[in-house]
Amino acid sequence: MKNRKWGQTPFILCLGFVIFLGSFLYAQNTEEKDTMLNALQDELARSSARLKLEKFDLPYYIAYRVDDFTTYTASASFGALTGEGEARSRSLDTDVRVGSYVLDSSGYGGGYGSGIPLDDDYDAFRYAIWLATDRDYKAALDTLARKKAYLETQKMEERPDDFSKEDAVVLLQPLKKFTFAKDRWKELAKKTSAIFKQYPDINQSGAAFSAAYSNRYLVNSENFKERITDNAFMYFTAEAQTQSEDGMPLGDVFTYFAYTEEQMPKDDEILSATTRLADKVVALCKAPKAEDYRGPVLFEGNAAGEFFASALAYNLISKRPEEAEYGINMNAKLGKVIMPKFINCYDDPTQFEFNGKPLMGSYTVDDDGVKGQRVDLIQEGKPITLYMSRVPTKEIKKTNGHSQRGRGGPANLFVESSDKMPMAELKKKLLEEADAEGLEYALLAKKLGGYGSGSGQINIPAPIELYRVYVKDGKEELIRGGSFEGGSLRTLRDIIATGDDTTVYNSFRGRGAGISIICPSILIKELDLKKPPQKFEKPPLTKNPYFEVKEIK
Amino acid sequence: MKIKLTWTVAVFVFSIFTSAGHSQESKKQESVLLTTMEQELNRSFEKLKEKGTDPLYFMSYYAIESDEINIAANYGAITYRPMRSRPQRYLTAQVRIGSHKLDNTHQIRGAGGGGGAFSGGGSTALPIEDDPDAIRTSIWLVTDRAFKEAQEQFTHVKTNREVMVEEEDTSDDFSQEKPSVYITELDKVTLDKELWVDKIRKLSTLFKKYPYILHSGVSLSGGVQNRFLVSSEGTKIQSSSKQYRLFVTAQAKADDGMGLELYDSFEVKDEASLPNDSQIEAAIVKIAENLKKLSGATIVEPYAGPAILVNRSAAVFFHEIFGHRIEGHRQKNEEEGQTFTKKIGKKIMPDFMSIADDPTVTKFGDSPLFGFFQYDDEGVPAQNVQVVENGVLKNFLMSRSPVKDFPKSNGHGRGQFGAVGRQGNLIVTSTNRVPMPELRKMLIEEAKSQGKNFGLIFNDISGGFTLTQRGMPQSFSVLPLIVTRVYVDESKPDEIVRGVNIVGTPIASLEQIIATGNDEAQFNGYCGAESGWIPVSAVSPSVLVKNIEIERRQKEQDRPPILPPPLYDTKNEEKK
Repeated sequence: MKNRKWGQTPFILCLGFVIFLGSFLYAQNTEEKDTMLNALQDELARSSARLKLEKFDLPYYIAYRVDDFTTYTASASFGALTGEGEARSRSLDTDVRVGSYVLDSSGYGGGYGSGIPLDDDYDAFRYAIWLATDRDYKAALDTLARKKAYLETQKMEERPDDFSKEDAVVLLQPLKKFTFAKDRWKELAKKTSAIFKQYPDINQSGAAFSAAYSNRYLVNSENFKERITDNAFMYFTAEAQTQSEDGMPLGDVFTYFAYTEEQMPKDDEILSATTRLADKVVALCKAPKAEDYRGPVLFEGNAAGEFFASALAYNLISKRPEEAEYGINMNAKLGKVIMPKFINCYDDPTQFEFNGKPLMGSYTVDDDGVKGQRVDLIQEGKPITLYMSRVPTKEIKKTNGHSQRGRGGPANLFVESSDKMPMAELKKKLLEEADAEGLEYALLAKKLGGYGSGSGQINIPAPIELYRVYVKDGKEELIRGGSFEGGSLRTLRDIIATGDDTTVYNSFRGRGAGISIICPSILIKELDLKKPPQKFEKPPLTKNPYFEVKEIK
Repeated sequence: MKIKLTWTVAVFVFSIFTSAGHSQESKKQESVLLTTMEQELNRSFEKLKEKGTDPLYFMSYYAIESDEINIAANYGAITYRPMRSRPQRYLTAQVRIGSHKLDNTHQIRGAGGGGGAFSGGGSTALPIEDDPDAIRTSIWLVTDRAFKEAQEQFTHVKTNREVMVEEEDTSDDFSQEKPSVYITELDKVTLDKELWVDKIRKLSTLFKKYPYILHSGVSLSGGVQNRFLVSSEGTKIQSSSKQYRLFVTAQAKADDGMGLELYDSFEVKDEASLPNDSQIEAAIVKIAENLKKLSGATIVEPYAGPAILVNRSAAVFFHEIFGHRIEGHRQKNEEEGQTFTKKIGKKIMPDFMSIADDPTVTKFGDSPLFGFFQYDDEGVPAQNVQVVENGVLKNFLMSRSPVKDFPKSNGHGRGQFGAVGRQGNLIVTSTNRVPMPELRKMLIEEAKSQGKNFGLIFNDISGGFTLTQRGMPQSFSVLPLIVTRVYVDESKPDEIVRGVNIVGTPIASLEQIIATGNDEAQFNGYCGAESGWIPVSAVSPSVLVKNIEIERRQKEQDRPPILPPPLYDTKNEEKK
């Protein structure tokens, strides 16, 4: 499973950190000899039996989680390394609850992380766990008292329980060695970043490789016992930023994610992707500026994935009544139409790849230690259930294996259509829609995630790669700038057609969790694009010294 | 025997670093980074001079290349170990628009504020390889940003001057100084990592003997900072410094929940001088035993009366209450308290006290001083500055930001990104020195004459903090680690107390020094302020102060752990 805690935004030019190494593989492979597991279980047993202040109860639930990460990162710019580092850390997360499943000490903050040594030393592990448990038990007593006092002042209809009961999961994966060719990736980052030395129009650029590997232990007082070791992942990213002559900031980035080195693209593929990236940014500089627009928009490939990640995935999280006041309350939409009838969605974290492409939202067990499960979320346009952790909500009481740090969250979201059309036909439909509106052109988005953000109930990222498609001859013209405005839940119902293609879009967002969207291209009947602002900071006043010197030669 | 005689008379023995003059003929040693910085500086200065609406008159690039090795262990197990890592490089570009008289760094008064030493500067990470193309590209971008910001800032400064009343201090914004050229070899941090990982792990095991200790740690860090400075005036500096620190710390909790923490540290300049195992073991045992004493100690009551600050604690005290208030830029900034701004030529402490800040000394006795440097971070040669002479305030610690009557730098401009007047080696001297037993007697006498039952001895103090800004109480707070009551009734033994906080106002404390010991000692540490963290030292004898005010520290509420440490739990239900 992916390590939910680790991530950071994938593009990082100058920094980094990553992972790795086989050096922390211990000899012990069996449960009996796993020092960490033994220490966790022994302290769990002692605390469960005796951690009690007079006048108060024992904890009703104790969980320990240890994340052991190794990371490696190499980053480069203009052909030279800007950073290289390797780090290893182990952290202990304790969850000590007093009260009962119905009402407990959770949900009021707390949940601290602590350090735990890197050496496999039983005494030192026990010592660290002991102190963290003691601290959390006392904090839990205090929290429960405050929570009870608060609830007395509130009138509440039917309050869901605080925690669901689940069957124990026991899963001990073997420790394994994770290695990769560090120097290959470091050299490739340098080589990739040097490509930008051919582009005087690009101001800032870089490339980075990062890999992370983790072992996770989870034990709790309900007899869960897990050692999860299938957590390695890596990515390679390149980025270019610049300003057009009128000062508009422009840029683009690509990132390849994978679980293994074998899944990563070949060097040549990365180098040619970099050239395409650089060419595109230069083309953007010269492209005309976007104008205000209202009409049909076709989100093709990656852009459709980005659209669903922003507009749908995080709105399918089940909320408790007290959370439902903020943002979109999908719980109230259960059984109601939110998308066209031809759309079905499900989420399946247990699928690690699709058509040979890695799905970065995958995991074996979720952050609660519950096994990942396929969940059917939307049938014929209606949500039938939502993402759940072990925290019950009013409408849904049990987990479905989608806990992200104790709250429901997306993993691999599959969006399927029963009304697909070939891409050529979809583009034709786009132009017909535009024509019916009396428009000269329609918009085609191929990539989102640019500068500036739109507004609306749902936030659709600003376009990076956006084209006008002219009604009269179907000609595509790249434009720059602009942001989507007024996106709302209603926008999902405005999907009027889908392509027969399937794109895998991988990303790391919020709390570092990986997410995959597997979806077709989509045509939205009506959306607003707002033109870019008029004023920008001036481009650099002098030339990049490298290109200036070259000119003189 | 002349030498021996001299030694007996001398108050301290300093070894003076024989620093070379202003220009060294050592072109060969110039690093690629320095040369590249110089090239890009010359190019940008020439080009940008023509670009702005107001005149560009000064530019500098200041880069730090830092490399660190850290090892830490706790309870017999390593918690941090060095892995593959590379030095980091960080560059700050400074751009000055206007003239020495008035430029973009001028303080902006009123709502919003702004300005000051850090405007017109921008920072960036640099490539860590010696690739001039890549380095220049990074510098180019940060220079462009700094230049635009400085132009905008200068416009703001001019408007602000027109709408506000005349300032009290009308000195220039930037001093005229001779350029310096000084090149030394760059250094690397070295350590036998495997040896020290084993040592640190083994030493941390010693704390397992003490069931009442709740957190403990032994750590070692070594760091090198290579510094590079070039300016449009022709200054070119390449220097290097290296420090190692071995740190031991432990915490316990008194039965009433009060958290107790003690530490000890060893600071050296090279790997070979690191302490041996028995020295470190002794420090660990001492901390553990003192924590035991402290957890059983009486809680202090608020008190005002005489006290001795033992040498190292006195050194911290002077650094905090005095040193920070004589930093030059604080005399000009109208938001500062300016405690000493108008005290030049006036008596601020007894005749027998003098204070200098001398960055040019490398050692005190056999111990290194961390505040040593040859050129400050603005390229001005370090100078020994006599701040207080026979009780009279004479000078401030000056960077290139002049204040009234002090138009020049005295080589104290320091920082990680930009520079302001900061301390180097603050050295407190006294001509009223008595042996320690006598100082103790004087404490008892003073307590008697004030009608107190006891006086206090502050044995050790951890790093304190001080507030110098206007609108904040002009006070300081230092956290004493071990404080002892010395009873007037000499039949009563000394008693350790806990929970002490020193409070009070700085000037008052300085005026009230009665005498000092003859036991000068140094404190090495890292000092954080607006221009970043820098290594500093302070040297002082023990001082007897007529009146010091203490209060009871706010205490944590949670009790000691409910269950015994696992290692000491006799009633184990868990399977072994």
